[in-house]
Amino acid sequence: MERSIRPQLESPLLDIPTGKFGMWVFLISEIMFFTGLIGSYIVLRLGSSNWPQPGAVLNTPLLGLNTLVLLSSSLTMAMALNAIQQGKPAALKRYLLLTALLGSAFLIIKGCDYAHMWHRGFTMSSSLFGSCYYLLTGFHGLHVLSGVILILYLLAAASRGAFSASEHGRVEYSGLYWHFIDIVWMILFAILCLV
Amino acid sequence: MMATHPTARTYLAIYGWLLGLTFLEVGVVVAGWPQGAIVTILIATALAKALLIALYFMHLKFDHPGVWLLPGIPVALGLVFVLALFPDVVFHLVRRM
Repeated sequence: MERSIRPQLESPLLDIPTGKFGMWVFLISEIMFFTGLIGSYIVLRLGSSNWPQPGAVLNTPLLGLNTLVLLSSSLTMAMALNAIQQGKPAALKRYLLLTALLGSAFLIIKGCDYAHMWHRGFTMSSSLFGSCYYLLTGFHGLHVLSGVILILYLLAAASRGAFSASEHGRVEYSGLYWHFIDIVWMILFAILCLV
Repeated sequence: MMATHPTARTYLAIYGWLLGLTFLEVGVVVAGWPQGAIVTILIATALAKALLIALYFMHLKFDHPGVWLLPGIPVALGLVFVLALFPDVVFHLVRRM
């Protein structure tokens, strides 16, 4: 009888590698963290009588540009995984570099946005909206920074030839984290910057 | 069950949808639609974008169905959290009227 050979490290319940399971468990804590913040924002927003219109306070076109930048970085991260699955390490390095650059561009644009807002008097202590805006986008920005560092680490490992078509778990798990950051921004952009 | 993964063509198609939904979001706000319609569309498009990223970029569509439980449980708990605080919001709104 033919018997299938499976990787030794595999979560038996969900049929996924333990590394991926571990990343999902980490993402559960991240989901709870951001759900708490976003949920508090929604409750504060709905319970407040004089909430300013975000369009009148925030630089919406700049934040829209940032959304496109982060969406593009998600595509390049997905393409990086696709490249190494097909055994193309050069393409992997190219896409990882692009992802790190796009993530850095997001942070630079966010820094410009903060400076612009600060200059106009929209600070963390100027209003409840200001507190929520800087807290939510600040924590998200820290996550993007962590993601960029993680991708640079992957890029260094890829340069040493650490990944192949059969060995690319770390790229996939880091991609999960990066896409999660993208999802959080999609929600923040809609509820914080547009409504 | 071994997971299969989408092709580069699928990733590009999903990216196109994500861009389209983002332009739709900005479009309805710039066009100055009624607030109720804007809120409804923005919530729907944000959820659609999150779902597209989770399904295709995070490969949930191609993983074991049980993996859905991992993000599903904290999201459900988050919704319970917001709904549990809703009576407080309604109380404050009614008191102001």
